[in-house]
Order: sequence, then C-alpha cells, then structure tokens
Amino acid sequence: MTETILMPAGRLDTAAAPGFERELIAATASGCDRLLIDLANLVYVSSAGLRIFLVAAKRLRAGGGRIALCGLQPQVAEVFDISGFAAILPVYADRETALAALR
Amino acid sequence: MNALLGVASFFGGLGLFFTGIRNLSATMLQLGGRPLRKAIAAHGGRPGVVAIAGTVAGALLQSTNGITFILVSMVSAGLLPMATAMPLLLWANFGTSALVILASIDLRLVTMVLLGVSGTWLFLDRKAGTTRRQAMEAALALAMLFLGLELMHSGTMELETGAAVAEVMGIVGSSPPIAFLVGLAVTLFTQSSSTTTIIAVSPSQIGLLPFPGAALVVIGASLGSGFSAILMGASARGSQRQLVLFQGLTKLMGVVVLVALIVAEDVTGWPLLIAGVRAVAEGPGRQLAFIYLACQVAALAGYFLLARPIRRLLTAVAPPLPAESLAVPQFIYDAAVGDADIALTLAEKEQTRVTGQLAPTLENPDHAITSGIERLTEEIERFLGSIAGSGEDTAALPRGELDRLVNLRARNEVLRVLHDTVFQFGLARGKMPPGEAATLADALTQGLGAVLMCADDAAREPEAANIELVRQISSDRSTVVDAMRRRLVKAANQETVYRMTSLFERAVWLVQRYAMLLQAGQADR
Repeated sequence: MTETILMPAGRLDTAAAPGFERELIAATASGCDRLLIDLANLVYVSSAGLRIFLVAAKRLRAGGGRIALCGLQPQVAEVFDISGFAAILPVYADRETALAALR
Repeated sequence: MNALLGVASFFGGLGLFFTGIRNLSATMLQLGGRPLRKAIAAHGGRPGVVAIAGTVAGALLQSTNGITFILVSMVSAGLLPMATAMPLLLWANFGTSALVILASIDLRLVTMVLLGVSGTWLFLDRKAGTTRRQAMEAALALAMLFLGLELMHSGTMELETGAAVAEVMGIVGSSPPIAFLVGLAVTLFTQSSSTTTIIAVSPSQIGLLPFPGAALVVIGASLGSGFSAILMGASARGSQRQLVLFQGLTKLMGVVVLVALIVAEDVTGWPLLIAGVRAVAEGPGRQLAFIYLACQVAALAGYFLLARPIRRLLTAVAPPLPAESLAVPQFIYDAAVGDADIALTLAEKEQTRVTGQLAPTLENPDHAITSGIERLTEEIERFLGSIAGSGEDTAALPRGELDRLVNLRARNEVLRVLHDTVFQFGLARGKMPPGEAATLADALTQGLGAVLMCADDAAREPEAANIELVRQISSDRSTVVDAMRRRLVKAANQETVYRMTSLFERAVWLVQRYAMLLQAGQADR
C-alpha cells in the first residue's frame, strides 16, 4: 500500500489547474494506491479544479486505489455542495480522519 | 449662360436622381425584403431560382451593398449557405443593369405618366403604411429617378463644346487611364457603379464623352464598386467579410477580363469587346449600358469557372466566425437519412457539439454563439424528423431504432432548453451586485460548470459509470439553493439573486433529465 499526500495551496482555477493535474498524474503513475488531498490551504476552487479531483478519483478507482479529500475551507466546501461533488468524492473534516478512512 | 444652365440642370438632375434611387431602394427593401428572404430561404437550392431572385432583387433594389447585407444576415441566421449567397449576389449585380439600360432609352412619356399617377395617388391616399402606398412611393421614386436622368440629359445638351466641363469630359474620354480612374473615383463617392454609368450615359450620347473613354469610365466604375464594398465592410468578420471580399474579387476578375479584351482589340485590331458592343447596340448610350452588362457577365463567368478556388480562398482569408461554424452541422447530412442506424449515430455525435458548448457558454454567454447552437439543434431536429418521415415510414423502422429516435429527439429538446438556461444564467451572473452576492454567484457558476462538464463527458462516452455519475451530481439542490437565498435576503438586486438561483436549479434539473434519457438510450441498444 503506497500512500501519497498532496496539499495544493491558494487558488485552484483554470490557470493553476494544469500544474496540479501534472502533480496528480505523477502521483497516480508512481504506483500510489492511496491518495489524500489536503485542501486546508486551498482558498478557491473552480470547475476546472473539481474536474481534476474527479479524474484522479476515476484513475485510482480503475486501478483499485482510493482517494480522500480533507480540510475543506467553507467557501470550497460550498462549491463541493453546490456541484454535487460532495456526494461522489469522499470528504473528511481533517487529515487524521481521512487517513484512517483510507487505511 | 447656356453652359451655366446646363451645369445647373445636370446638377439638379443628379440630385433628383440620387433622391429617387435612395427612396426606391428603401421602399423596395420594405416591400420586397421579406418576400425575397422567404423565397430564397425556401428555394435557394435551385440555380434557376437563385438567378431569377438575384436579378429581380438587383433590378428593384438597385443597391448591391444593400443586397449584400441582406444576404449576410441570412447566412448568419443559417437560412442560406454561402455557396448560394455568392452567385445570388452576382445575379443581383447583373440585375442592376436594368436601370442602366433604361437610362439609355427615351422614357420621357413614361416618366411623366408615372410622376402624375404616383404623385396624385399619394396626395389623395391618406392611409399610411399600406402595401399600395408603399408601391406608389416606389413608383414616385422611380419617376423622380427618371426625371433626374432627363434633367441630366437636357443639362448635358446645353453644354457647349467650348465650355470647361465639356473640355474636361473630352480629356477624360480621350485618355483611357484617366477615364478608368475617374470611373473608379466617382464610384467610390457614389458607392454605385450603375449610378456612375448612368451619369456617363448623357454626355456620351451627345458626344461630349467619347465612347472608348466612356467605356473605360464604366469599367473603372465596376472596380470602384468592388473597392467600395470592401471599404464599407472593412470591420466585417466571418461570412460578412467573405461576401464583401467576394464582391471585390469578382469585380476585379470582370475588370481584368474586359481590360484585356480592350487592350487586345487595340493592339491587334481584332473585333472584340468594343466592336462587339457597337455591333449589337445603337448609339453610345446603349453601348455603355452593354459595357456595364459585360462587366457583370464577365464577373458571373469568372465565378462559375473558378467557384471552388474562390470559395477556398475566401474561407482561408476570412474564416467563418465560431458562432457561424457552430450552426453548421459537422456530422449529419441529408443523404444519411436513408440508413436509420447510421443516421441516428450521426445525430448523437452532432449532439455532443451542443453538450461541448455548455460549459463555455456558462463562462462567456454570447448571443451569437447561443443563436448558433439554437440553429444547430433545429437542424438536428429537422434531421431526426426526416428519419421519422411520414407515419408509414416510421412504422417501417425496427423497434430499437424507433426507440433511439424518440430518445434522441427528447435529448435534443432538453439540450436546447438547457443551453438557453445556461446562457440566461451566464447573463444573470453578470448583473449580480458586488460583495457576498457575487461570491455566491461565482460558487454557483463553478458548481454548475462542473456538472455541465460531467454531462459532456457522459455524452461523449455514454458508459454506465459516467451516466450514473451525472445522475448523482444532478440530484435535487433545493436545500442548498434555499439556504443561499436566505443568506442573501438582504442583498441588493433581489430579483437577480432569485433569477440566478432559479436558473441554477432549472439547469441542474435538466441535466438530471438528460442523464436519465442517456441511460434509457443505452438500454435501448
């Protein structure tokens, strides 16, 4: 079991999305099957950012892996609720809870 | 004194002529614009109809610039393909020859009768805006135009050969390059080569403007008309730019051909253009009219010989705007209707172009793009309707294909309404007041954007997992949205807040509906 933790910071918008996507692809390609994305330092997420989370989840699930997100700030959590992504991606309050769920 | 009277008469006649032609064009546009558009939209696929419609339009409207802009609006609205608009414009140019030919004929009697009848009628008829009144206004404009020509002709007659104007005309007429440039310059001013030609008819008829030179004035005027169209359409893009460039290019082709004929005739002595025109037409006035006609015929001939290279060149130089390209189907085509299975697959692929435009429209709501998508969905519906055909034909479709057809039509309608909803949402977003309302509006936009992207993914790869994902993320949002409305109860512009949240709910509901139809569509296979 290989665990990876990513912690994007700032804004995950159309400009920043490609860079973070490369990080995710590198993480999933390196044999990681447990991916935790800690969003405690993320202040904004756009639809492009949401799409990247979804793509990462699909890639991991296809390989038998798992994904978890944690530490959503209120404004980011609201976007997750509005988009319905909170219903399809596992979201946890903090890192410890998320790691426990992944393990 | 005679010379002064002659100039004044010519000038007065010119003013009457310009007024007449302007009023005629405006009235005919009101009277005949819509029927013309309808006829072209209904029968524009037939070359004969195109030729007749174009010629009649040109003869009546006498304004190829006006016709160009009618055609541009029809092409932009998807009512007319560019491949029909181009020859139509050339036939309209040909139709403008009618007035030029009339100007070379003695129409005094007709002019006076027309003036009397139309003027008296309009004086007695008090009802405004009726078709009859508009027809009489057109007749009056025509009469003014002819009266103007008469005054110009009589004014020209008054000019003695020793007068300054007559001398200038003599210089122009005897120098081909000057004659050509004068024709070009006058047309840049009048924006009408037929007007320039008509102005040249009177002095030519009485020998003030020698014929070979007058012919070059007309040919220069033809090129000037092309330049004038290009200058007027300088800021045009897409189809409009293609049409104005087309005007310029075909005029140039006609001019090149005719100048080559004249030069060859001059050098070799072979009886070509000038000799030919002299043989068929009596008198310099009519000969000028035939030169004008030859310019239009040369442009028509050039187009029909080089239609494909011309269209390719114009598409490369002035590519269609994104909105124009969107409206043109990329996958469906009429001949495919015969094989229902293939046709339905093509229609499904065409629909992915609509789903692919949803997220971009959310980010940048654009009227033109939305109109393009609207027309595309209409085309898809028309195509699907063709597959359905008559009641008997529908019964002949296998059950599976019939179910697919019904499903695709339902999806098409959902997508049409969804696209419009997303467009309205995008517009409403722009009107949100600053502060918390704008922040929430952005959150709604990002959330909806993610939902639409997932819908597009499912449309392109309609696997069970993708469709199920869309169904999950498009579930009921009323709790979330109501909470937002409560938070913004004191925000400025409540109406926009309510409208935007309602549109969001509607869009999500439509995505859910679309996902259900997708799922049902997969089950039908």
